Formats: sequence, structure tokens, C-alpha cells
Amino acid sequence: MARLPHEVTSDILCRLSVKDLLRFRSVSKPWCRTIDDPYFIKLHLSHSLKTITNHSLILSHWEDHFFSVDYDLFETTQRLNHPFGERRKTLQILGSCNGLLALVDDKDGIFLWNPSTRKSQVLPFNEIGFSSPSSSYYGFGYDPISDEYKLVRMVQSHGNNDEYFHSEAKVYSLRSNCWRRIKDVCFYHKFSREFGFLANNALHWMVFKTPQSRNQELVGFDLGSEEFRFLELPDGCLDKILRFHIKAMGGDICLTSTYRETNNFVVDVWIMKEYGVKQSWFKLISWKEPYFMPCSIVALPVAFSKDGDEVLFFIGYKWFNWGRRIDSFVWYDLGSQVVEDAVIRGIPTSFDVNLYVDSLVPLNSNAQQ
Amino acid sequence: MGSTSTKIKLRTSDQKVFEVEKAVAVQSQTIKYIYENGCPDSVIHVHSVSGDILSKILDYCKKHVNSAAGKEDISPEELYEWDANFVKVDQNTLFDLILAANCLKIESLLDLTCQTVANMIKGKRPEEIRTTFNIKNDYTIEAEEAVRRENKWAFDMLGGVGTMVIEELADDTMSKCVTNAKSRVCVIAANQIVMMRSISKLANKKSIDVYKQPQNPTTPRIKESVKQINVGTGFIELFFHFKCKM
Repeated sequence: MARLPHEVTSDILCRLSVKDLLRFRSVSKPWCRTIDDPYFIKLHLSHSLKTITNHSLILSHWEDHFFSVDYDLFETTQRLNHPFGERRKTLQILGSCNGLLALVDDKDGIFLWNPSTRKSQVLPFNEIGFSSPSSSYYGFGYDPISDEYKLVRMVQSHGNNDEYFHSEAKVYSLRSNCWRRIKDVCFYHKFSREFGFLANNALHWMVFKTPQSRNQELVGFDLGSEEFRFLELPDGCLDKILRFHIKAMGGDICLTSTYRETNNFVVDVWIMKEYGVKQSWFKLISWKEPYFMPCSIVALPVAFSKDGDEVLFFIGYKWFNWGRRIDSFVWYDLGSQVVEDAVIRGIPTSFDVNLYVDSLVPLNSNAQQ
Repeated sequence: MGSTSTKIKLRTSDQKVFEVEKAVAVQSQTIKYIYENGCPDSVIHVHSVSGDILSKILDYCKKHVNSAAGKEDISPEELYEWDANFVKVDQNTLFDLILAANCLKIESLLDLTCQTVANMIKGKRPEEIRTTFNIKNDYTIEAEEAVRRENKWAFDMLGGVGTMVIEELADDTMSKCVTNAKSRVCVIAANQIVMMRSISKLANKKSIDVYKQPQNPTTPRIKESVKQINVGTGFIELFFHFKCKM
């Protein structure tokens, strides 16, 4: 290995797991320098993203916390112990980007965590200019233009009948480890807490254009220009639906609407193939299942399989009678439309799911740990 | 020229001359560039590659060109296997192939050879890496300890609770057994060999003994503590806790 040129050694090393690489830092000083080098860290990350390796699903259970499922092996769960202390039982993952997880607790305390390197950080306290905020919307992502990880927090507070209205939006930058106020938003929240999703280097949320609007619209916040813009959804996709969900999948915006049609549950999955272009929305899946009571079903797409032929769906059954929820995964074959159970041992009965990629991406070493 | 039977002459570092079809030679971006920007009739010097290595590389290029062009009836799986056999060479040859693929800019061969080396070093200890690749350890003892301590947990072989599932306890599972005793089952998982006692009695047992067999067969077996057992029909799940230093 000593006689291989540096770029070849990097080519070999970028194919390894984070655990192997952290161990190999003690092979020699040149190896340690290579592995710690920001350029190599990006190379390793981009290799993982391109070949869909080092990926996992992170399942969060409100009481039992975090479990990870390896995306290649897909057999069992492994418990993830977060470093934030026993008292923080209300941690929710607000975003997962390039190996960094952003989490928030019930007191709006925000944390960053890289489970692969086991480094963590507490964000500085975010002052709000007014009391009793009624809603906080969050988002976390990476801006390749400034090579910066950013976390957005938008807070709104309003009285009934528009007695008063306060709104504040702030962005946190990882490198500078500080919050900064951004231009006020031109839309309204109605829910107490929402987490945005990242697509095309922008964070997105569903919001209301006016306080009187009945339908939500999709707004995107570009992490580079820090500008908001509205994006159009397919016509009629919000009519007569039971459930609506929007996120990113395979890098594109993905919209799922669930509705009833005679005796069936129908789950339609739309993909916006070209970012910002309304005509590029196309229906990837229209999945019909017989409808049966007494339970309500949630079916949400999670990710594509490695070869792109199947879509992993999260299925949540909620039984009305007993208030119990049982969550599981299935694979939907895009060609044959056959649905197959994905058996994973040890998953909690109910959970939220996030995609995660192992990476060496560092946090801010000067920030509070 | 454009004819498919155009030949290109290549001269290696040890003065061997190879005449190859253009389609095969231009798998190398370096050769392609030199050919397209130079005189097509002259011999191209590949200074840094020996005759033996170039010969192997040309085999690789020829196989891939022929399979892509449909000249050879070979399925993707068969090509994959051919590639896997191609890299079953001694380490020096492998490194020579990497250096040549890098210098000749043959992307798929570089990808194949680098992945082969990556697979060789996965899960290894730093000492093994140094020995295998003749890397000098330039750390002082204290400095190395300090670096190890920064990521102590990366040296655990299996941290935390692991679930190992043994499915279909059929006869062939027993045949993996180290002791060859019919009553014991031996399962190989993640470089660990775990033995369990007596399958036939398992259904009635509330606890079973789990032994870890170290790599060195003369070292005595280590009994592991088992946290929880679920014995059901058709499969057994074991939850066990063990860490061992690499």
C-alpha cells in the first residue's frame, strides 16, 4: 500500500465502513491524515450515496428510542444509544442529512448527532422575540454552495381572529455555530410542529398561503440563496383524500395521497421528476387494497431498493378498538405490483422512520458537546 | 481508419511488443488519447507497465469488449464470476494491476481491483493492515494509544446486543459443526463461531449454554452470558451480549 499513489489509497479507503475507517486512523499518521481530511470525508460520503452502501433505516420509538436497520442486510435491528441523557425521552428526529441527525426535544432544545462517529453537539439556545409561540417548524439540510450544514426554525404565534400575529425565522449554521435571523416568511402555519424535508438542496414544508386558506401549499426554502418559493402540486391531488404525505425519495419530491374508492383503499404515489416543474409530476404507484374496518391503515413510501425495482413502504395499522398500533415494512415491486412483507426482527411496535447514511462528517468541535 | 480490425502496437517497460485490436486497446483512456492525438501507425509506449501485467490487462479488456459487443455469449453473472477469478492473484500482482489500471485509466478495472483490496481489509485490525501492506507505524506508543482511545468502541468486534437467528435447523446446519458431534449445532456468524447445546432438548429448556470458539482451536472455549432466549418452532432466537477487543 505504501507504493500506491495517494488517490488510489483514497479510492480503496472510501469503500470501507465508518467503523473500519475510524479504527484505521491508528494504522499510521499518513492514514490518519487521509481519513480526517475533509476532502476524503466528502469522497467517502459521495461513494456511499452513489452506490447506496452504508445506508440504514433509523426507527424512533417514543419511549424506547432509536433502532437502526442495515439497508443491505435488512434482517435485524440494532439499538442506537443517544448521548443526550436519560431524561430526554421526548427526542424526535427533525432531519437526517449526510450522516448527521438533527433532534429536538419537547422544550425545543435542539441537538446534532452523528451516530457513526458518536459525536454530538447541543445547539446554542435560540431566543424567540415573543412569548407563547404556537407553532415551530424545523428543517435540516446541507448547502453545497457554501459547504455548510444549516438548520431552519420558523416560529409563529397568532391569536384568534387575527388579534395578533408574530412570526420569526432563523437559520443556524454549523460552521459558525450561531443563529441568524432571515427574511420573514410569507405564509402561515396551523400545526404546532412540523419537520421539513430536503430535496434539490432546499427544505420544504406544507403551509397555508393565507390564514383563511383551506388547502395547504408546498413551499421550498433554498439553502443557498435562502429564498422561499412555492411549488405546484398535481391538480386535484388534495381532493377527497383521507391522508396526505409529502417527502423526498430518491432525491425527488414524492407525494402520497390515500383515499377511498368504492370498497378499496387507494394509495397514489406521485414523483416530481423535474424540480419545480408542475408538468413533470407523474404517478409512480397506484396501489389498491381492499378496505376493512375496524382499523385505519397508513401506507407511506420510504425509499427505493438498491436496484430501483422496488419501493419500501412503511405500513402502520391502528386498531380503533384497542388503540394499538402495529407498524411494519413491505416491499412493493414496481413491475409486477406484488407486495411482499419485509421481515425485520426486533422492530418496535410503533415507530417513525428516517433514512440514514453512515458518514465521517464532523460536527463543530468548538461547540458545546 | 474506422475498420474494426485496426490494430494498435503497444511496447511495455520490458520492451515487449503487443499488437491488439483498437477496440480493446482504447478501453484505456490513456492509450485512446495518445492514439487519437498522435500518429496512428507508431508504437505506443506504456512505460510503467510490464509485459506480464499488460498481458493480463489485455485479457481483461478483451473479455469485456467482447461481452459488451455480444461477440461472446456470456451472461452478466458469468462475467461477474470471471472478474472475481481474474483478481485471484498474489498481492504483488494485484497491486501491479491497480497501478497499471490507474496509469492507463481503465475505470472498470480500477474499480474492480480497488474493491478487491477494500474487501481484503474490511474488519481487520490495524496491526494486520500494517503487516499485509508493509506500512511503517510512525506513531509513538503514547500517540497510538491516544488515537485508539478516541474511537475505542470501533475496536469492539460486536458491540451491544446482537440477534442471531438460526433458521431451519436441518441436517446441513449440523454439518457446519466443529466438533462433529450430532447433538451440537455450530453456526458461523460474523467471524465468530457460536455453539449451542443439544437441539432436541432445546424446546424444553429455559436457558441454554452458548460457547464462543476462539479462532485458535487450542484455546479453550469461552462461555458467554445469554440474556434471553425465545425458543419457538422452526427457529431459535438468541439475544446475547459480547464484546471482545480486536
